[in-house]
Amino acid sequence: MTEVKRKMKTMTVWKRVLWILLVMLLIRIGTVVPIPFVNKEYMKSVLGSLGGSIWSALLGGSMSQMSLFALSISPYITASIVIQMMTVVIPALEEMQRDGKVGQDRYKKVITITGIVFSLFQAVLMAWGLGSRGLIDPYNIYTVILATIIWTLGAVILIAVGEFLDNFQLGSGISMILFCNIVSSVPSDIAKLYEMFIQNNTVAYKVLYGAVIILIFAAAIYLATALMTAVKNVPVKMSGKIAGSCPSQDIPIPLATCGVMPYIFAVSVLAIPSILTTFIPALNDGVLGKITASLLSSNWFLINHPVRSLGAVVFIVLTYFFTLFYINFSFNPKEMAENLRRQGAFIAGVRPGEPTEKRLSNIIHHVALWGNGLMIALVLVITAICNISGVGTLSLSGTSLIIAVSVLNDFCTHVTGEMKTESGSGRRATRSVFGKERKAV
Amino acid sequence: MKNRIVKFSDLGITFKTKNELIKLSLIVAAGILGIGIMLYSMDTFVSAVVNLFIS
Repeated sequence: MTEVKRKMKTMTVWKRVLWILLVMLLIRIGTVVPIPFVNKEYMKSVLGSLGGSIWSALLGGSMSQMSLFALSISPYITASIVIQMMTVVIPALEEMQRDGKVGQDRYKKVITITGIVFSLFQAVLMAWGLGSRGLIDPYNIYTVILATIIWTLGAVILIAVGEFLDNFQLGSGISMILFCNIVSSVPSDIAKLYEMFIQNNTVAYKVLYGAVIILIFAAAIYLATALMTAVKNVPVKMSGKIAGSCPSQDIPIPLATCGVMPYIFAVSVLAIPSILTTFIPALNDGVLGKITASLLSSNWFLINHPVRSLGAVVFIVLTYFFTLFYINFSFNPKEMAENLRRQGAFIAGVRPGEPTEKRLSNIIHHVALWGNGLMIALVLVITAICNISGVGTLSLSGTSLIIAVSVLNDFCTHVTGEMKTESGSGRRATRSVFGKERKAV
Repeated sequence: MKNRIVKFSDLGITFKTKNELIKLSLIVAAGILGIGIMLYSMDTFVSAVVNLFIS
């Protein structure tokens, strides 16, 4: 296994890119191939509005297809959220996160094992809970057990594929699977936009609408790229003898300090009530039904239902919560200040030790909160445009767009860095300013 | 140091230049479209094969 990993790391960068594309194609096979005794039409009708949500886009439509990979990587994402939350109450988990590469590998293993347990739980819930209502036909003990095994195995395979993709060192494997799920629906979305705005219009309107659609997406991609690549450079000066050879340096802190993690987590949490309604249809009635509907991004900014936009407020609160949570547990200003002191470096105008620690903490918090605010603004503007124009949720609307842009930007940075390493002209771009790679999901 | 609301302009955030951003955006857009079409084609092909077997 170690030999395989070593070979994967030493492959030329283009070979690794081709491997990743091949794996993406294989993932789609598992997402499309149906299970014979599972009634996917039933699932489509039960999923209802969730079928068109961002959550569904992240899963690549696997839930409505009821395929081998029906659960997709949702159990892994749920496990990530749960384990992140558990770090508050279980100090051992927090220690693992702070304990260098070995600790982080162990932490990842804990998430993987929890993800596998969640896969089994989710598969059992679907096969036993929805099987008798028409999802499984014929419904008997053998088909239920078989469906449970297949769905669990599908989710486990995807988790393993995520780890396999990690070994190519061109970005996070799980993020790549999410990207693969998101962009696989892009052509059908283009067809949808064509039918809605271009097909039955006069030539003048065809040109006008076509130009507006291209302009909106180009602007969204441009702004998302600008936010993802923006950094705050904290100037660091060297003291004593080192100052002669290396007088000053910068610590670049990305504006998107937490990457896309807060958005994936927020979307996952918002989808929980809708998923519950598939098992408990009574939740669709009355006040609970209205709350569930307002949490779906496809219902925000609708002129006929202004109250449903309150779900957007919940989304904003959740992303800020996850941003603060992530930076508090992932970045250790004390350790960073100590590292600077040991290297004989200091932030201009700030004394080493506690003042440096406070300054770094303030900078990280301000940058992360501003970054999150701008990212949310972009997500909500795109969502508003899609909903008000009647398009609804697309595979690239709002959250999924910034996830796709972030994964590709990350991928480009890694590929460029590896190519420089291969040509021997530069250092690896994958190294982070914080001494470890920034984590994705 | 007091925790106060800091203006965005006071943060001193550095953005990439317009040309770099346009180049990166084009790569991202091409990647999304290219990989999207490739995966969608795969979906369509596999669905067709599966339907062939079922019918």
